[in-house]
Amino acid sequence: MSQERSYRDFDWWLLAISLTLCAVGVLQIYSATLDTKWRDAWWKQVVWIAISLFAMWLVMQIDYHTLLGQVPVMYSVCLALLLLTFAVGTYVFGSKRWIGYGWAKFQTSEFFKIVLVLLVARYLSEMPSQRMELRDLLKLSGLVFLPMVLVMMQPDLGTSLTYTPILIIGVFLAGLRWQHVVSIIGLGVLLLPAGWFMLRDYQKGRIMTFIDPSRDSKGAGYQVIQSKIAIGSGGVWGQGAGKGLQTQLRFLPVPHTDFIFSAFAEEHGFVGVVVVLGLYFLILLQIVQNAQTAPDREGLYICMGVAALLLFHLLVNVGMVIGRMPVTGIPLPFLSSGGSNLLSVFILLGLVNNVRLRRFGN
Amino acid sequence: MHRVEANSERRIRWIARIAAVWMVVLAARMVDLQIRQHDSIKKQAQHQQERQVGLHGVRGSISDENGQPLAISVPTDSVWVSPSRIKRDSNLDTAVLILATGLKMDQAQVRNLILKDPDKRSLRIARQVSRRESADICGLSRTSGFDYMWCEEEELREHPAGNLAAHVLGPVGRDHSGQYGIERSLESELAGQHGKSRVVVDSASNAYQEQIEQEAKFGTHLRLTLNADIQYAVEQALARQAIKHNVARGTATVMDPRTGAILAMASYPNFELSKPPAKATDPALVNLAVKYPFEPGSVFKTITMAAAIETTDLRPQTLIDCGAGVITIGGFRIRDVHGGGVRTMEAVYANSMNTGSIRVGQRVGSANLRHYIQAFGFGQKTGIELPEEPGYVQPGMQEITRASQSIGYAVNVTSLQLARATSVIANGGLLVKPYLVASRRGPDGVERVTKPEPGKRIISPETAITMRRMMEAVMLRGTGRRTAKLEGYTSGGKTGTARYYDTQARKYIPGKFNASFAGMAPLNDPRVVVVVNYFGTHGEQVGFGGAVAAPVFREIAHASLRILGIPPDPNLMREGAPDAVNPDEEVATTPALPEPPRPTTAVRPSDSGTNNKFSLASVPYPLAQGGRKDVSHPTDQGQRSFSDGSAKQISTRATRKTEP
Repeated sequence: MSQERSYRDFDWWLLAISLTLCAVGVLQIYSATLDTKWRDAWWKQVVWIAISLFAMWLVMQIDYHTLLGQVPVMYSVCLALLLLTFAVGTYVFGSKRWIGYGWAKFQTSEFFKIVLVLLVARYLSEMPSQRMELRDLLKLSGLVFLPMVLVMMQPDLGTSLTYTPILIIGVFLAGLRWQHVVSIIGLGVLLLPAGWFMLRDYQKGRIMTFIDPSRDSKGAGYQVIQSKIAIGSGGVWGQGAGKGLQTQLRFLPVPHTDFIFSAFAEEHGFVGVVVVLGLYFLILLQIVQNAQTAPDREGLYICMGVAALLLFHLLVNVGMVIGRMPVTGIPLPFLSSGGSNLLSVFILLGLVNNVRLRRFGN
Repeated sequence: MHRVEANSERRIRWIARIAAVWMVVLAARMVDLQIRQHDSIKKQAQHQQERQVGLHGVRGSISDENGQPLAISVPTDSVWVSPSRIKRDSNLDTAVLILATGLKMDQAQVRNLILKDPDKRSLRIARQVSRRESADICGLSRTSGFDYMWCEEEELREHPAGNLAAHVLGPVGRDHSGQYGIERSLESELAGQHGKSRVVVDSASNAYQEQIEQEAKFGTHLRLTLNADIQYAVEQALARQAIKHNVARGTATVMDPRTGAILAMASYPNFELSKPPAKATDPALVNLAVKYPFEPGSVFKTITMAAAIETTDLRPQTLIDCGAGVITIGGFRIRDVHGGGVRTMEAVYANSMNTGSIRVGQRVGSANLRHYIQAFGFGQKTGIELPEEPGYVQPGMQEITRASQSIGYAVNVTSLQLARATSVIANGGLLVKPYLVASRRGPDGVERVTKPEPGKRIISPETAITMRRMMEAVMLRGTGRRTAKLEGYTSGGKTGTARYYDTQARKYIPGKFNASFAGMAPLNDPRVVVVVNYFGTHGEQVGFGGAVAAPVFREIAHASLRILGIPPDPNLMREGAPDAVNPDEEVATTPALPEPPRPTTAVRPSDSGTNNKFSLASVPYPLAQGGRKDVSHPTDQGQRSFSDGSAKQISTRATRKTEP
């Protein structure tokens, strides 16, 4: 399988837009962490962007078909790492998500997303029939749910939930039957009460708080209330960079990670929000367009999996900070401070470009 | 080159549509939050980001004329808790532990206070905690972000001199405003004005920016004319005699006759400034010197005599027929305890004979007597800076009233009015206005000294000097010779005893008296006028002014002169000095006496040189301010060097503070 690859085929627009968002993120991290113990976070973010770009380039080099061929190995290794996290992981805010120390520590659960994108793509494209059979659906779901449950037990509900859109978009595109949809929904409704008992107390609390934020105005509800106040204070034009009082006076919790969108909305107002959401929309359009021009079903599933992941992150994070979703701790791609998330997002973009570069192949 | 099946293509569009709907939902929410609700959310943000902080304008302090502080406001904290929040967070044990440890209170007590009304939103658990004691607990409540415990700034009025001059100063209420005395009458000057400031705080309530909206204004500092040492001596002497004679109430005032400056003003019983009686009608709260009108009795004869010398040809040596010691006027028989006969007017005055005084009053006549009663300041407010000084309605002038008034009945006066009237004699005929505030220092730091109002001439200097000699005769030959006369100083005065009128029973109580003494010293240049009154003394003779009030006058006058650094009269310094003066001769004009021995300690030569001259009008202070510091002087106990004296003063001051 030899292809003529040219960097003219590289999706420069996708890169430009995502780097613009990264730049916005760095500025916002800088502004939100002034005079705090995280004041170096913006610089770390810049370094992580560089690392991520390199990782993206690396991912592009290897034909995605080759990558798909290694899915069983990657899946097994990641699963092993996940289990290892339970043994030697580092506690952060009461949950074991990290492995390693200092700069070298990373979140296995983040990278599992990539493996799952590839896994779903391979499984669905290798499916013999056009129509999806229940047996396939259950098998694939089982493969996705296994790491999902492990991550949920860390406990990290937010990250584990990000695995579902990959599966859903995949099976939907692969021709999921409507009967199956109905029965899954029915099963879900039946299992919901059981699931409720599986949740940890703080997770139940978050959901309750989402329904009524004033119920816990000092805890999880406090975060949402403060976030809404920050966004509302921004108004049309915003209070100006570094001048958002909600952010600067530390009323807004973690304004450089999960709530960075609120900090941005406070300092740059509705206008800034429209611009940023517009950029995300362009990125998604670009990825979907790549999916449409993909050379094969594998490529299509990879691109759509990436699009689904990004869209899910965006919707859940923004939904959370404006009080339309429960607080789940899902970061905003490109903007939120944090290396693991950035790295995985750029690797995902690398996969998209990988597909794009090979669209005129065979 | 579309190799993707049409089905997938359709489903991608489906996904895109769902995503678009989500986007619209998010955007709509953004419009709602950032545009529609912006104003109300902005207010919400300000509500949590901004604090209105009260800036304290500290109440002005009050000191005596030498700057010794009498009342000072110090910042303290009051500690508040929210029982309802403690209940909500169920952290009663923590709260009790923190509060009890921080405030050094009993844990059970704190617990009971909080649990008394567990749904109360706020409860003040401790008031006026000193900054040193509150530092821990208030610091903790600020930094830890506890919302059930906080501190509020509160001022505490401290009285470094204890209850000294309690009636003049007056206590402050819970709101730190004056309730009685100077604190109340000059409230508007003393009170600081609280300012406001808007502080932007972060989530841990640390101040971020401050914008002062209204500056705090500090209260005016008052320096009173009171001399703390004299005041102390007065209060001690007054109380000691009251206890000794079992009298319920008494008052004493020391005044500088030249200016009207009040050097001391005391009432017995006293009260605790920090814990004043709760009931406003409590008798201990009354400043008897200005608020208690009474019939003065014989001390009022001074006015009758002065009016006589001014308006008639009666002179001290004029003979007055006192008859049989009984006089009947308007159907009332007025008896004279001193008997009758023909006496000089001076003897009538010195021995306080009622019949003779009434005869003199009759010579003066109603109109003149009334004129002089008013001229001496009776029946009107003195204008001193104390609240609720009553004004009096002058009674009618029937014959009996005139006769009564000649001997000090049927006229209501206050102790302060008596002091003012006595000052007229002492300063050579000028009616001065009593005042308490020597100087004010406002927020600008500039000290403004009160200029005493110039006295109004009401009797001639000659009359004043004549009256002084008559008052000296009281000391030398009259009712004050045993108990009132000063050692080492020339002095003059008048005793007074009136029957005690019970205002509730509306009748005179037999065997109960108002005992008074009004006097001055030294006679050649009076520096102090002292008026002492006891209300409701018991028993004939032993309850009279000469017995109860006169010794107190002597004690107070001695102490005042000593504290003011007035040198004793060298002419009186010989062995057995009182007898050295020929009673028939006037002291002030006795140049034939041999040069007296110098006191063993230094006396200002300039003062001894002018000793034998009467000064006719007010003279500027030569000694009052600094004299005490650099002049050694004898006390009535004997000679004492200054260092001993100052040591004693310091020690008395120290012990005074510890008194309850």
